[in-house]
Amino acid sequence: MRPQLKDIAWERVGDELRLVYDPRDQLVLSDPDGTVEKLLGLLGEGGRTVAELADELSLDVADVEGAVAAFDDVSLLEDGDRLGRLEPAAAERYLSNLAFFESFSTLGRSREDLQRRLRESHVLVLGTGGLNSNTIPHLAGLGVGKLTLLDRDTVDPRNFARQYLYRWDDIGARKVERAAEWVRAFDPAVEIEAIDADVEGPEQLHELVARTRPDVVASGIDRPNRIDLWVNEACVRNDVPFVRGGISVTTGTVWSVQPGVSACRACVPADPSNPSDFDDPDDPAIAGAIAATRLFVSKPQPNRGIGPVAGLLGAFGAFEVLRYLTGFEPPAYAGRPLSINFAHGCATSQDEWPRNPACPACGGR
Amino acid sequence: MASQPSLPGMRREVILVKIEIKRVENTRLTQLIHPDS
Repeated sequence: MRPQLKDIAWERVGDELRLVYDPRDQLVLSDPDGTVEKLLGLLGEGGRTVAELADELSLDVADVEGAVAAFDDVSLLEDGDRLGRLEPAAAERYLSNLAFFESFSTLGRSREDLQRRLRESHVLVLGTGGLNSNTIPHLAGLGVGKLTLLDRDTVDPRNFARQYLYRWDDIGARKVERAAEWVRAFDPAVEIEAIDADVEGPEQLHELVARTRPDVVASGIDRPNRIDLWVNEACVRNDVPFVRGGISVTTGTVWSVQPGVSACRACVPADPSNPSDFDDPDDPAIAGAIAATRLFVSKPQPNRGIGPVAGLLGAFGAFEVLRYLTGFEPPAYAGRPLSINFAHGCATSQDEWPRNPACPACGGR
Repeated sequence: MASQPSLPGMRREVILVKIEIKRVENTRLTQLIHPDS
């Protein structure tokens, strides 16, 4: 390991050093005799082991180890041995990704490690309509190595409110084929499989997930009504996380399930319009909410996802997929649905689904 | 509000119905409602 300081500016202020990577989060270190500044200079040059740093500064190895650990705790360091492995063309292609990942890299995982995880990842994309036609470009741009796309529809004029993968000339064409073609044209390095099929039940989904072995499922199918429970069952059985997003009137929602860690979709009432799905349907607040939901679902609802709505939800979903694939931070919406209020400045809020020990899908494990 | 046509010789009658609307916010189950994608 050769600790390497990130691209960080510092200045001396009396006996202290002020370090800035992100201006909202400056770091102040005590350095009355200049030793820390010398160490920072050597770490900035990189290429030295801890023992070599200690030797050059005439310090104990343990002291330098402690300093390096302290710098790593505040994410100032990467391991030079874990950098410089990308081909120049790849480093150029992923320039902004790598710059983003630098903020989350440590001695144990470099920015290139995070990008490599994406290149080795596989996402199963269920549905290439409103939500996922906005997620797919983000996944391709991030450099996800393999995408398996599934859809059953043709391109229709009504899709053009929010589905920008498709062109007017595509009307009538199989949607999954056109989406796959878009990805191939965008970045030929992405391996792609297109499945032109309907989803018929949980067993079919289970077999699909078991066969394709994705790292994450991005679920953007909204019919039939039990589809979320089917995807949930298939993913929990296969121990594969999944991400789901959608819109109801003016509220957008994004949530994910991390099997074995978070609550799953079956831990909470499947049908919020059905009192028998609740333990406490007579609680006045719950009863009112159930009644409102029952009235709502009694009328046909058009898909109200305009372009900015689908774009935001697709981006939030892609961000959650990115968390699962790289681990740059923990999943943000696992069992904690994000709500976005499109009627009030896109204000966000989050709820928590309780884990249910009697859950038919995950058993609360 | 209902009104009868104002014809010659007829008394015009206007009935006003005062509507009071109470908004009951329901955010408890919204994330469970099957969303469109």
